[in-house]
Amino acid sequence: MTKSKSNHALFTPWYTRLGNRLRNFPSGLARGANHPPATSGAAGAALVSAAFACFVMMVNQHFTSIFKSWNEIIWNLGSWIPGSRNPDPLYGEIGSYSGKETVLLITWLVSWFILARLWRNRELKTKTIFSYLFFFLVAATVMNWHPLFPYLPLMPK
Amino acid sequence: MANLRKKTFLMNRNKASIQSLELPTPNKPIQQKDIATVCIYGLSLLSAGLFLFLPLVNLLSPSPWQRYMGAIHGCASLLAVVVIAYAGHLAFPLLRGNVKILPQMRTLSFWASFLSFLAIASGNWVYMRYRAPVNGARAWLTENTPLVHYLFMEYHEFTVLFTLPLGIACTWSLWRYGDSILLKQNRSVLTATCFALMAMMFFAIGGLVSGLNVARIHSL
Repeated sequence: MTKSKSNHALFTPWYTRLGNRLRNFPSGLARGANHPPATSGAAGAALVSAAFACFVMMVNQHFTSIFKSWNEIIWNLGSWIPGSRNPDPLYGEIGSYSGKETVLLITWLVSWFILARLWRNRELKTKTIFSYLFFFLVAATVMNWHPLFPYLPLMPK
Repeated sequence: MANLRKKTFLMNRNKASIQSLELPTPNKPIQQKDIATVCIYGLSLLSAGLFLFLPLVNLLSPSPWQRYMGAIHGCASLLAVVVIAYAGHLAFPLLRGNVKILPQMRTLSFWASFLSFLAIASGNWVYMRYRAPVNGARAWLTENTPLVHYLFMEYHEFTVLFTLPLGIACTWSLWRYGDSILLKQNRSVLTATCFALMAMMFFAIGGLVSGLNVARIHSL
């Protein structure tokens, strides 16, 4: 048995060995944490906050499309991203999209922190986590196609 | 009688092949595999190679912006979609409680999130040229075919961003709960994580399709 095992290791091709190593890299992550939480609240906070951030970003998108002053504020918020503002007319600039990404990032991290504290010792049902995830993700997706967006350029300046 | 003899022969042949177990192809190096296995390996590698060849078409574009920006963003996003789709597909066995794939799922969702970040970062860079006042694609599209911008580009811009927080949340849940994620008491965590992995795959593939659609109407 041992002999056949060592033979098998000898004949294992390099690409299989490489694949197996890559599959478990980084090994600390592959092993998982040693002390898992006793309740589902921690996972619920991580997953729901991600979907909630997507939802908030899309709500914000509506406001930036309707109110130009709000669009400027959001653009300033995202000015830390390289290329947010660029005077070169050939290269272009990211524009207020950088601020919308920042809204996603801030909402995600802040809501994760708050929910993690709120739900730390709470046992959440599958239905609860799933409902939140489903609602926020579907609403965020649908809000990509606002019925008014195509007509906004027709509005008087 | 001849029929019966044929049936008996087939049965014996099947039994013989099961008993001998002389062809465990998965454990043999490629030199020792039979021709059919080599052909299957070869075709699968060729198919994958052809698919990954897709963004390199950008190198033939007449637009210099598309030639380098488009090629880099295309490679980054296609690689991200391939890894995210692989992670999404493994959500099925994970949901059924397959413990063997659990370590791989943790690293895979991590690398999927990392590649998603690279695709988003390169996308930001490409978006600059897309919005450029001089011969930018956005101005041309809104002028000539506004639905491409309002249907595809709006969707592309935002839904691809969803993949990053979803991917990191999945990685974190899979790591934090360790092997206990497969226990009955953590069924809600497993279900929600698998759902988020599938959602990540949905938004990544949607991003690739919408991005390709925009690029085929007007290059950078």
